[in-house]
Amino acid sequence: MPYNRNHQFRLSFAMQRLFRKAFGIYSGEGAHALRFARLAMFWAFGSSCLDTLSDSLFLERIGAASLPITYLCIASGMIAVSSLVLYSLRRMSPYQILTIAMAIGAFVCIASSFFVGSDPPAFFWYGMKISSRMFFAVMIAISWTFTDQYHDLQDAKRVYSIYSAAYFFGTILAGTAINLFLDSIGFSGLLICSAASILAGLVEARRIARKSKAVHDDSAEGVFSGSRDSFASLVKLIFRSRFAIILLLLSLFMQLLLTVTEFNYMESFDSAFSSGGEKALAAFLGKCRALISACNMGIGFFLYGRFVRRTGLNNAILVTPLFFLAVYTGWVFSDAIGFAVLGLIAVDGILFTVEDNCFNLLSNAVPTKIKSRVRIINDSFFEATGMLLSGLLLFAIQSGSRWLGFSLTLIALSLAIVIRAIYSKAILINLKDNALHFEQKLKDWLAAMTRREEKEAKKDILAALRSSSEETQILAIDALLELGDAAALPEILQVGRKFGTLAKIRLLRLFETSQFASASRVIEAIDQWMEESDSPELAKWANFYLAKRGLHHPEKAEGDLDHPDLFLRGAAILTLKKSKANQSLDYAALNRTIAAKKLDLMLKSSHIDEVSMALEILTEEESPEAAEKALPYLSHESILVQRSAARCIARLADKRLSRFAPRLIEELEAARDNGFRLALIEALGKIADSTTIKEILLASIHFRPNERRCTEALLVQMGLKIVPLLLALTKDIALPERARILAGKILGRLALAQLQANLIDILDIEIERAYFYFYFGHTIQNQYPLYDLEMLQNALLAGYQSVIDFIIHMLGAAGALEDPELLVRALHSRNAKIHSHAVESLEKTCDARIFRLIAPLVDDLPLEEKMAACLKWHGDYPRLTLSELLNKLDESSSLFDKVVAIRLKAKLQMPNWRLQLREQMKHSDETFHQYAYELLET
Amino acid sequence: MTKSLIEKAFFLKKVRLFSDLDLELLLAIAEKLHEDDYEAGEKIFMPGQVANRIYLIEKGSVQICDERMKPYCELGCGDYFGDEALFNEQPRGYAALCKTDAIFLTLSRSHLLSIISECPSVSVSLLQAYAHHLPCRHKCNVVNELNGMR
Repeated sequence: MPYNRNHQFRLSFAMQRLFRKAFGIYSGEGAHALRFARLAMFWAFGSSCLDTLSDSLFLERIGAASLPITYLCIASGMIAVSSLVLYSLRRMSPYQILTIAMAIGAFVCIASSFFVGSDPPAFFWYGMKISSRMFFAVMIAISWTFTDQYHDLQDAKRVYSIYSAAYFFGTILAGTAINLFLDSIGFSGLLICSAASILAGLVEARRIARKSKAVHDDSAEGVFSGSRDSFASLVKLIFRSRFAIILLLLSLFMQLLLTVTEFNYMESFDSAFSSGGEKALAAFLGKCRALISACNMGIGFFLYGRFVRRTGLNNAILVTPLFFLAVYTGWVFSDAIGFAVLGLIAVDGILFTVEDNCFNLLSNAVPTKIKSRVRIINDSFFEATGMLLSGLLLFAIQSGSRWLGFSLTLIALSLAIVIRAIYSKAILINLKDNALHFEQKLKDWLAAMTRREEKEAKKDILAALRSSSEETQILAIDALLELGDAAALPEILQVGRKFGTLAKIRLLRLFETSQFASASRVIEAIDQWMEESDSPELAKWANFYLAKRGLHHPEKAEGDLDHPDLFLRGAAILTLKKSKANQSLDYAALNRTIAAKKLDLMLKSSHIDEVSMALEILTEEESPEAAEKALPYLSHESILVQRSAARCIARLADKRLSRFAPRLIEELEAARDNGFRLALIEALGKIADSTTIKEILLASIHFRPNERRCTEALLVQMGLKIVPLLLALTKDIALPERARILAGKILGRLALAQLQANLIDILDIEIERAYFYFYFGHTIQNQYPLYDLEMLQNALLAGYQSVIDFIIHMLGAAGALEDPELLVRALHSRNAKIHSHAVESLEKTCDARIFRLIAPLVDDLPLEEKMAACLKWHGDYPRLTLSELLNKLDESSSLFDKVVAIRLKAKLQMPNWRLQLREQMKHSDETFHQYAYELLET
Repeated sequence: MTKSLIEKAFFLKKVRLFSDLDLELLLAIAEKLHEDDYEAGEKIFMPGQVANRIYLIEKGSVQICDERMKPYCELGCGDYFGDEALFNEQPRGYAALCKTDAIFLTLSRSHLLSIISECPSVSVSLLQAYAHHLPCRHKCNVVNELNGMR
């Protein structure tokens, strides 16, 4: 019995795996996918039944000749309905709209079932056909928007085709039901069945809303709560995205093609079945649609997802226009019924299986803010517009509608080719939209604007300058000074004149760093402030400002050299040093000597503010010797003094200071203050000593984002001569990952081709390490339940994360991405939608072989799938014992691996661990030695 | 009419949370702000709703109500709300209603977290605001424990 139960369990497990593999779903995902599949099937059955019955009844009672007029009516009605749906999205969630639409659909079915048996007037058949098509269009649009809330792009690539297949299963059932039961229960009975099915779908939607967890997309507005954007802003956003425009255009032409092709095959069928009676055509259409839906289902379940994964979405987009091209190339010359059937296959098969799925996936490259509404526009608005336009075209052409179809096919193919070319970039733009561009200056923002926007922006700044708030005015002045617009200077000075003392002092500091620091207008204005104001505080700052520019006379300043006020003393020293007053050479030399002595005294002071002031004065000396003097103050106990010293060195540094670069790097490593670090990085950039690259990179591992950006910029400035060194450092597995990442990023900017050529070599080792860490991080404790291996487990998983980080950064750098950091951040995002976009971006930008290798690691897969990928990667993992695992870590060139191994050996008191450690120390570096000594002592 | 990038950046300077930041940082944040306008009496969010965004009040006033819709406090221009749930990743714990016609500039959770990692002063401002409203961090626990003992 137990054997049997075990056997049954294994069999059921194997069946489940087979099922999951066949449908491309992960473990634990089945119930979730089934809910959406049921929803699609239920509403598809109802909608397809209603559509097919209304089509056949319309053709029989009214005739194909009236189809163009119906298209016009459907189009006009749908434009109204789509506008209503778009407006409703501002107030309601997709779930609410979906349930309302389904309730209306069920009502239409029930109402129709009452009248079809009698002999209703002609407008009833028009109404039935129009409402059935409108219901279908609204359902397609809103059900995908609803579904989209619960899936990210990577999920969508796997499971959306299943939902499409479920939809086709619903249409097959509808076709089969029409064929089997039309004679027995008639049109009314089938319409009541349709209503029941739609209502079952409504119940399923309610269950999904209650039980399934939505994938939040916090970068999008209103997907969950209803968007509040106006229609005008929506149009504006669409026009800003080239991809959205072309995708919508393609969709519009596809709709035109759909209607024209439908007209063409209906016309052929109408003449072929003119003598067969009303049920013959309905039965033929039902059979054809059932068969096509069966094929669609097969394609949806088993082929589409795999096809997209193999060939890529950008290639799949070409399938539909190429199929239409093949059909029309024959159809324009021959009237055979076979072409009409192929036309039906193109419309009911290819358009639904391939084109619709492609659109759903491609819509992920549309800006997130407009994604849901682009889908509504496509499915409701464009179908209507397509119908309206094609109705008009068919009216105008009368004959030659197949040539029209052929021309439309050619246009659709051209648009598909354009989409194919820009898809990857659009995905990346979408990803970039999530990034905050802290590195951009005001000038960069203005440069990205249109001329009109730029003009408006400058107007806005000037308007802020006239604001009543001093804070706002100061910000506006900051902006205007950064723009360097001399025309704005008079107004700035006029505004500044009305400022209070504190605001005037802030303004002085802004002027100091601007290009107008020594402008005569500014100097005059400062003189005027001093005359008008009796504030001693302002006078001190203004004096100091003018003294820095040598605008004071030494004779007037002499008296202040021993003044108790620090600012006046500082101003006096500066005046003696820099005065531009007409003085004899001896007198000037004497003044400089006195100033130097006073400055030395100030530097030796025990008061922090005096030393800081002295360092600021030192900054005004334009010689590297002054920077040398500031050097000891980098390790002063006060951070204020340290910052002043760093600023001084940053200002004065040049290549002549290269012998002090190691000292600066030492200080950089020890420092924690952002301003201090930035100043030292600037100084190192001016020194530009390529022999210090490794040390700078090592110091950068604890940097903040803006410090890393600065370091990157300074190393890039060193140029191509550092490329070989950077390559060696990127490959050096013994270095910390963060340092290697920075080296790789700079290498990518300096010599992309070289990085790409070496990428496989660099990443092969890392991918191996990642799989190794991941597998043992998740299995080692289970293999040895009696040992406490939590530390090893944590270390292995931390190692895995850090290696994955490295891999992503390298791929970002080698993919010539403008901002690899953004990709990394997106891949680390807990937001599934952002994460899936990043994976898609990676797939589009990195080498296909590398992507296949790393996909299981970076993609958001269940643990079971990742473990399966580990085993597939390396079959001998399960045979490693704990001691073998630790020995393997010991042999690794990574310092991290070695430290973990010896720590564990010590903790578990493994035989001879001390001996092994001493042996290892003989050929290890200093960092390892230090750690090993500590371990041996404890 | 929607606000321009510059106008948004200047508005941010008036919000205590971002008042220490310089123009470059303000512009980067302003680019990610989304403008929403509400009419008087409209609900901005209700307790239990998914929390994705922080709201900065640009114009108008907002009534904050507890779970039983009892008015709690009123916020005006330059204030912000809706930030708490972004950090604890919980649904909204209170309701926000517009007392007058209002305009909000909103930021998503992921953007706010990026800003905090780039600008520590923002996180300090947030901590100061939380500390201001919470004289004793353990107060709730103590009350709960006392209730338990009783």
